[in-house]
Amino acid sequence: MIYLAAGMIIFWLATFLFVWSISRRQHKLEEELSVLREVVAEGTTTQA
Amino acid sequence: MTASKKSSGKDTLWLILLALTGLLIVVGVYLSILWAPTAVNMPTEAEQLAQRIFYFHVAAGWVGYLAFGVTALAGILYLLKRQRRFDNLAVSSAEIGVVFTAANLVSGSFWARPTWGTWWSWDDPRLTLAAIVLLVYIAYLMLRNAIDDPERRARLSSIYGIVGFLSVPLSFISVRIWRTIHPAVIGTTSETAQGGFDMSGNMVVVLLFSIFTFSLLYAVLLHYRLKLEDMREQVEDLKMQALAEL
Amino acid sequence: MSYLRKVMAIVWKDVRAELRTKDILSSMLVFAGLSVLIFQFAFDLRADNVRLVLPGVLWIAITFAGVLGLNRSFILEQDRGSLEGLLLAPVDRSAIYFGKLIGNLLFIFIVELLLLPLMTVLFNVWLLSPALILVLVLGTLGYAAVGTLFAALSINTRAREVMLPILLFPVMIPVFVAGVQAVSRLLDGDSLADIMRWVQLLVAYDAIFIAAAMLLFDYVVEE
Repeated sequence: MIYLAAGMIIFWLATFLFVWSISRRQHKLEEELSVLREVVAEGTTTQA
Repeated sequence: MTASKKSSGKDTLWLILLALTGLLIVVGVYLSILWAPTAVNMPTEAEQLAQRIFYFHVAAGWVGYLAFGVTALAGILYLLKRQRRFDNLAVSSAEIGVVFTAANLVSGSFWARPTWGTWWSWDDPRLTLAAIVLLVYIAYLMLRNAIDDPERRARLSSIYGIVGFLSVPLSFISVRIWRTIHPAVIGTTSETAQGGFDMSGNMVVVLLFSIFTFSLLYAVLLHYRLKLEDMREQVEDLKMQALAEL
Repeated sequence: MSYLRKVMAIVWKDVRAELRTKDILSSMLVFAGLSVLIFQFAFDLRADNVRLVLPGVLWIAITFAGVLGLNRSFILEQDRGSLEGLLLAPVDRSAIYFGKLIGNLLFIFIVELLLLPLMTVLFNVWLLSPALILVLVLGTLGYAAVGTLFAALSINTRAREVMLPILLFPVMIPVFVAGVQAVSRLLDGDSLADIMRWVQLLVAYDAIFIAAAMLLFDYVVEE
């Protein structure tokens, strides 16, 4: 009984952690993207 | 205006699929734990309960192999077409594959412990094969990690993905022959080798349901992981642009 | 120049370079010998349990010495910058692969040629039967086929030579399992006919991976 429970819990925990890791990385990248977009926009305006 | 409508339409589609997957998972857990019939020739109750792990152990294993196949295929496509999106697909599928293969191994251990008395057995060819597949996956990811240039990384890891995938059936055959010649030390010598039991009709239903649910889970995870990879690509491109303008 | 001539030219270039310094070969030989020694102490290989462990020890010695040779065959090229020169030559890329493969095979075979009599003497087990040598040749061929491709791959990474064993070992498991099992059965007194399954597996592995490596080598050295 305990093996069944442990097996399932570990599996779904791992899946959940994986999903959470994806979403965390996504947020970090979104931030980075917006910063970079600003930098590039500034660059082009100063060139113009 | 229409572009953002379209993309948000697709986004909601995937959110629906995510929710659906979640629902199917809950149903699947109910089916495997409560609805599926008890296995017939299992002597102890501990074994009978542990056997229910089988439903998502097998499904996880199946998805692990599927993901690897997708990675290898994406590698071939990249080498032929040289489009970045194929490489993004390869790495996304590989990451998910690692998770599912590791889950396959861990759940296999939790099944093995009450059934055979040990956490691991080299006598089961499929468990051994899963370990081998995991090692190839990990090597693949380590290779990618060791190359900085995106084009080179895509090209070289495609090659390794293809060769690695080719080696899996041969590894399986070799381990199989190895283990059918020597009788299983742990006791059961049945064909299924994992505390062999006969599959009744309802069991097949639950198994198929699990496999379907996990495949759906794979697709959903792949979609979101791919989005992440696309974003990474955008960040790289923007960084290059920003540097160019300095 | 015909294709074969080009291949042999590459082999001869590596052999000549090696004859001058004897770097690679000597380190391979010493490493193989040391591996056997270490296993002797690790498992205390007395007469009664020698046959159990010997096939494994043999193949591990070959595997580790092989990694050394495979790595150095490409690292020296990269360090000297001679790889670019090779690539500029009007040679079909697969000729480079076969040239490197044959060179690597030569070196590993020389190690095996010396390792077999050494282990025969040390452990009082007859290792020089034709069947055993055949198994060794087939296994080494598959090992080197994949190893040559992966060595070319690894030197393009940050980790360089460290990457090769990580990439190579999981993929060469069929060779290892088949090689160890076949040698083990032969030492137990089985004939070649008894181990046909393993021989077939090795032949299949060799065919598949030589073909795959030949096709994919182009993509490795593209730049």
